[in-house]
Amino acid sequence: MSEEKEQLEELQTQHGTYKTTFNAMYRRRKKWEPSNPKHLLTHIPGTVVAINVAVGQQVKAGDELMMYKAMKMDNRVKSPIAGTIKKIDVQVGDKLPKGHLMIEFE
Amino acid sequence: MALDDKILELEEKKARLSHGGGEKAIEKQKALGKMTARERIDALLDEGSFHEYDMFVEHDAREFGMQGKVLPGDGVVIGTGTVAGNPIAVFAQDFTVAGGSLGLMHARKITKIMDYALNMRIPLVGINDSGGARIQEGVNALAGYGEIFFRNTMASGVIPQISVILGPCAGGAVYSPALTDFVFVVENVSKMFITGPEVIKTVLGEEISMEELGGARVHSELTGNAHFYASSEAECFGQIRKLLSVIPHNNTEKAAKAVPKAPQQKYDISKAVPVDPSVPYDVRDVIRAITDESDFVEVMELFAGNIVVGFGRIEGETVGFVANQPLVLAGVLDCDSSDKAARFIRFCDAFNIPIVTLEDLPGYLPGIDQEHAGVIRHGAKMLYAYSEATVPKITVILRKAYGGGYIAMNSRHLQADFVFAWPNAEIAVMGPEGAANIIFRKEIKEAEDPAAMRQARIQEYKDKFANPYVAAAKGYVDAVIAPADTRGYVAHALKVAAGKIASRPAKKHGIPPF
Repeated sequence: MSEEKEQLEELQTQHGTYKTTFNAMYRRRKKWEPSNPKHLLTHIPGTVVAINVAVGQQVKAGDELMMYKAMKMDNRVKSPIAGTIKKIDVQVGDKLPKGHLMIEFE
Repeated sequence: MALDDKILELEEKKARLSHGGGEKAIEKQKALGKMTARERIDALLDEGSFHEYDMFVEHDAREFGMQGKVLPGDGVVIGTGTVAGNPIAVFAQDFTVAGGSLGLMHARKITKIMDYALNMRIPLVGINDSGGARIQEGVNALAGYGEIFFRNTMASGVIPQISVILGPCAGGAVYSPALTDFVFVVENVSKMFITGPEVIKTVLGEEISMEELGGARVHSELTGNAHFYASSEAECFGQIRKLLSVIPHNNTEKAAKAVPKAPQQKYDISKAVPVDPSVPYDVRDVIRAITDESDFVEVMELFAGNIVVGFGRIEGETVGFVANQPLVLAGVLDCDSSDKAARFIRFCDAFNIPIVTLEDLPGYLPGIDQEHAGVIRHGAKMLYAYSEATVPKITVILRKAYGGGYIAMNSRHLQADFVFAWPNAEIAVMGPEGAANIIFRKEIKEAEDPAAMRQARIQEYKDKFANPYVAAAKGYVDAVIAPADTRGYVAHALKVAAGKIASRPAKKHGIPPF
């Protein structure tokens, strides 16, 4: 018989509620956050090479906002929307992971 | 020179080459708590059974100072030997020689022993301990990896392929183990990753140790890349020998039959499963109550524990078990457990191992992360694997069998050969709690005492639908059996199904939802 006497947790599925334990992967799950269209995030790990806009500046969709080096390539980061730059969250030289906030729009 | 002298000369040469990278390098290897390549082979094989080949192989690289550089055996030891008297092929990378780096001749030795293994239809064990591609040999090193991957793929499903990670295994090198059937790792010794901590630091500025990035624990618990976890190399080789004793040695054979033995008495199957479907238990106790000597070789014990897979024997014959584990995540199916089970089922099917499925699950794990991680695609792998399998397939429904989970767990509808259910099994489109909440939503809401009304309705649903007899009335369940009769029914079913012939339409290959 297994002697594990772990603290039991509750898990609910559409069929009912069950006492059980959680595994490592389940404990690591992240809470869902809806994406914010006014937030520009990195899609890939890389380094900020240049920032071509300033706070308060108005941009059109497709305007080049920054240069971002990832996987040995210089990537032009274009504005996904038209709007005013509210905040720039990164500096030239920053090494960023995937999903990191770079620019916020008004 | 007389023959005796020549033999003496041979012995000297062999002694020198057997010393790998020399005293200093061996000392370094030992300081890391690691065995040498030849010690590892000796630990794996029957005593004195190892026969080494290609000991005198030399590289012919010329660039970057390689000319004239002596690398004994080119950093890898290959040969054949026996485990419990049965022949196997083996290679072991020798980290003491140029860090076990893979050059063209190193790779050619590996592909040679892979060809032997495939042609002779014997298992292959590859011991990986290498710094990676020998950069000085350029594209030839890459060619070497590619030639190994191709052979791994060709041998897949023909002979069992086992990879042992006993040191670094980084970059492209990881894909040979990833293509094999079973990957063994050892705490503090195994390190596997595509891009190492240094690259991650340079590119991302994130610092992580090798152990945290791709150590034995990580691959056993989180990534699912490893199938067996050991705390020492000695334990690891014991695990490999044990595994080789329960699986067939090629796809034309059955696993060697053992003398039938009864399960240990301490595993009482009648008491193993609580009647209340919300109370957990360890399904491995049910498996051990069924198998000979209560022996169970669990595969991927630390990964996706909500499903348990592994090998045991019933009346001396090897079977593969797939069992929902109520003790972990209530035994739900999710991305990882589906993936784990599907792969195991395909191994069993490829190697003539009957599959016994023990079912007790409350459906699929709900969650945004699950949906976005592709639980549809991963879950489909299991349906595919069960449906595709032509080995004898037996299901025992212990308790809960709800909704899509019921179908996925080797149901009659996926062509299970035998489906048995215990008297307290609940085979239904939904669990009583969930069903009552939907069917009687309005009634419960408008009741004076909603909680009491809910309980009454749950009980009503339970009495009507949450039992094995509705499914048995349609022939979806062959027999409702007492828990104590499980081993007898399964053993008989295995006997009856031993000569099973199931045909499938001719095709080049199917397209499983990888």
